[in-house]
Amino acid sequence: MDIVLMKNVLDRNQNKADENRLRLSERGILMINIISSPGAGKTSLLEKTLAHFSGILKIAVIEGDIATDRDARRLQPYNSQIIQINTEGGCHLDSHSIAKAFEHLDLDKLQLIIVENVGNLVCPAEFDLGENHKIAVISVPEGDDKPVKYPLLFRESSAIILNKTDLIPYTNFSLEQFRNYVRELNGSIPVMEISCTTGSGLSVWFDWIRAQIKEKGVPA
Amino acid sequence: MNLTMHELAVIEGIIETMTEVAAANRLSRISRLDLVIGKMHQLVPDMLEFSFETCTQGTVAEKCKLVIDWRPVIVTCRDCSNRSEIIDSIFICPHCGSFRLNTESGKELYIKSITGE
Repeated sequence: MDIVLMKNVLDRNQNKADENRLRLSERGILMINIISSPGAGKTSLLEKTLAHFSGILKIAVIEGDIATDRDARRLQPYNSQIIQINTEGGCHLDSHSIAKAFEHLDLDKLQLIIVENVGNLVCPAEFDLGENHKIAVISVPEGDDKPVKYPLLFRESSAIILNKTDLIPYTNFSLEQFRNYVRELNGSIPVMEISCTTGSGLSVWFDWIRAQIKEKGVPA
Repeated sequence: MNLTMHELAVIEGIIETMTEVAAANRLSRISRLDLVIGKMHQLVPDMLEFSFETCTQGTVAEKCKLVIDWRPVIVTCRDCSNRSEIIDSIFICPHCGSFRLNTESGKELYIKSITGE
């Protein structure tokens, strides 16, 4: 018997992601999914972001890690709702675990949800969580050709953050080459060159967030 | 089932669907699975085959033949309207140099058909 299906393999995840997206849209909440290799600086970026917007924006963080709550604990001092998801071996977050995380958040009190995905440049790009934007974070020590090796993520992202720019003098990272590679992959998205350590360039990231909030018409 | 490795994460979705379809159609054995996969997905053919073989052991799809139709990455330029195949992940229109490209194919990831008895 031949059964013709034409069924999306990731249907189950996609359906829940669409549900998540609708749910947030109805409440005017923006969701950002931050994706990077382990150690690129996602948590540091979140520390700076939460500190900057403290008292200004109502933000919650959904923190994805294979194990431990170390990252969630780093974010505790910043006065935001933090939910830690441990995937226990799973290499990416999926829309079902995000939906479960929503149950622990007071959605009526939120304007922005930031998801810090599991450190991985491959699988998270495939699994829609229901976010408005994917942000790819790469760091200088990973090499300037990193984007070319991960085309799907860099195509799907709304913006790219290059972190640890303070380390450029100590590596053979070529900013020009990196910008060329990114331009070839996705020439129409912003590239933000920052250092969480020195604070350099962070204002561009904060302004980007403000612009998305404004564009989405997120209620105050 | 908590699966690591990119190919395994995709196989999990496939096996779930195969199991559902087999139950709904009272299939005792699935002999062939036809997939359509776009080249944007970073799936290594050998790893996919290996993961599939491993994960279908003991299921209704054990020893099932896996047939994959790999689709190229094709884009349409929003500025000059030309369609082109993207090679080596260089997403620039070869006709006019624009970055403004709509992806027409290359992101497919679906089960086309299941054959069984």
